Amino acid sequence: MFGSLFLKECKQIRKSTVYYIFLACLIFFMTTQLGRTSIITRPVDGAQDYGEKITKDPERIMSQTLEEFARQIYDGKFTTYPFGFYKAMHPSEEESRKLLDIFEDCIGQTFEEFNEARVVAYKKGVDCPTLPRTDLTYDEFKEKMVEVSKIIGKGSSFEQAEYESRATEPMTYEDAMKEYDEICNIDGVTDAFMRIFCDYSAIILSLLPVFLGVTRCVRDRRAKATLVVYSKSISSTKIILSRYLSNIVMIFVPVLLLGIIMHSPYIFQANSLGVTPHYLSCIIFPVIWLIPEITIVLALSFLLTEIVNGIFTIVVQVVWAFISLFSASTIVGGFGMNLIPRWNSFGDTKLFLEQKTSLYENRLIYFVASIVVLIITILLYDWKRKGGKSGHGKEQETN
Amino acid sequence: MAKSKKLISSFLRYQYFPHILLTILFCLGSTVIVSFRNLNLLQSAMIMERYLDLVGVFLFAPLFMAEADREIWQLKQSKRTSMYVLYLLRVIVACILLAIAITTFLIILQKSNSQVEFGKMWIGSFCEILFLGSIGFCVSGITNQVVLGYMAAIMYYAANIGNRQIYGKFALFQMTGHCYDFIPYVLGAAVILLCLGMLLREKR
Repeated sequence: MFGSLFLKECKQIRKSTVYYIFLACLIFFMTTQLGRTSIITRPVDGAQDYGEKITKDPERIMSQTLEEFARQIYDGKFTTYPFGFYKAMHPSEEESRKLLDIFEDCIGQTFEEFNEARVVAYKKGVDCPTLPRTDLTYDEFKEKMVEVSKIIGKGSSFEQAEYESRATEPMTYEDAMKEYDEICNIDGVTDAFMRIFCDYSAIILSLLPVFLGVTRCVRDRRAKATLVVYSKSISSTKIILSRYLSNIVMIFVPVLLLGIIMHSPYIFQANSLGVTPHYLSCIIFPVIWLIPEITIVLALSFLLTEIVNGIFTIVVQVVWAFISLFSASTIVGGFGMNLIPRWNSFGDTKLFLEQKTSLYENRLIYFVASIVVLIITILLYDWKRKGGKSGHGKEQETN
Repeated sequence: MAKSKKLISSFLRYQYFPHILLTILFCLGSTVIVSFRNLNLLQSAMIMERYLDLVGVFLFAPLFMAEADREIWQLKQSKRTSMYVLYLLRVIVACILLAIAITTFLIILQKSNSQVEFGKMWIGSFCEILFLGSIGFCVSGITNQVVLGYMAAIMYYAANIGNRQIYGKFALFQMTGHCYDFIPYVLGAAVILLCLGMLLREKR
């Protein structure tokens, strides 16, 4: 019974216009973003530039963060992105004084002395990096930045996750060689690509499933079949579960196929470099990275459509997706509880291995949350079937 | 005139009110999410484009919702008032609401000591938001599914975040790059999409 219902739901989805638009958007987005294959080449000794890499060196982190701090003091306003959108913070006189005290304490000189040194360096045409005082420990610096963040507010450049993910240093030949070896030996080339693939897929999948979910939920209302479905002997669990799982399958299969197709050039590339590719990474990465996102977005769209209506559900999901996208402190890692885990880098293998657990935690929490939301949806649907009223008291919504 | 007023007031009261409420809530949300104070021209343009653009979707995509039920649609078609007049009146109402939203945002920006080129930014924002809204309007009109209208407009908005150069003159967020050449193109496209939405819907 459940199997045939599930297949029927899959067929219904396959026939819907929304599904074809979903496929078109998915393919267009992924091919325009990932259309060109990255060619991995062995670094050549003696090259002028090997690019930059994220650094964990406390000296560089402190220096680059203080540089940013000085710039914002000059501007008289502090940049924050509390919900991903730009929000300037203008400190009061007392707050400005406190911020200046913290800055002076960090560099071990007054702001005037610091300025004078800069002017002299500028006249001589030499660099004048903003260096911390010699006895400033990294722990002490972190405490100072916590004070700064408290004054400025959420989403500034002075939050630990933010400044630690932004500090960079130039790569040497050895660094470039090390990264190349990691991509080849640890990632088998294919893992490095699949992380970027999942990064882009996660962006589009934070938005698209809601349209399929809402369409499915309002289909009965559009066909005026709600009461007919309610009167059937089949349990609410089977009805909701068959709709939910069919949507997951119909969304995930094209993503998986796209992953397999786009990942194949990297298998050839790995083979040509004499590296054993990870053939299963095109399945493992999307399952771990993308399925929890699809499940939570769909579960939420099912629940909200049952409670309120389809349009409200779309707006809530769109706002959540854009806030998740714009408020990410970095586009490489820093997963936290973000709906869209970012990894917009081909490589950074060691960094990924360090942060892998955080990604798993994030995905597990969303997966469990989606199960909870789905159970609530089933209970609500069952209550409505037994005579409970819908959230808006009538079955007239047709869209 | 009296008939038009009656048509509009019943549409506003029974069908459009939740969408107006949603738009108001979304605009009010800006006070929490974005800052209006002491912004330079580009930052002000960013607020007008990145944030306010979505208002176009909320206002224009649901304009056919009242006739989503085919029986109601057929009933309305049988009346003396042309469906095109009905749709046109709704588009005018949505345009007025959009104009109010844009003017309010620009006044708030101006009062908050932010740099604003009022006339230029008003026209630029209006055309851009109308264009995005007309995508939703056209798609929901042709398919008779407001979800599809929302989907098309929102996906166009999302596509412009990462890769907008491929859309040329029809790209969104151009004021953020201090470019206003796009206005005639998007205005023309918006008018075409609005007309197409109405015509193709009634030719179905």
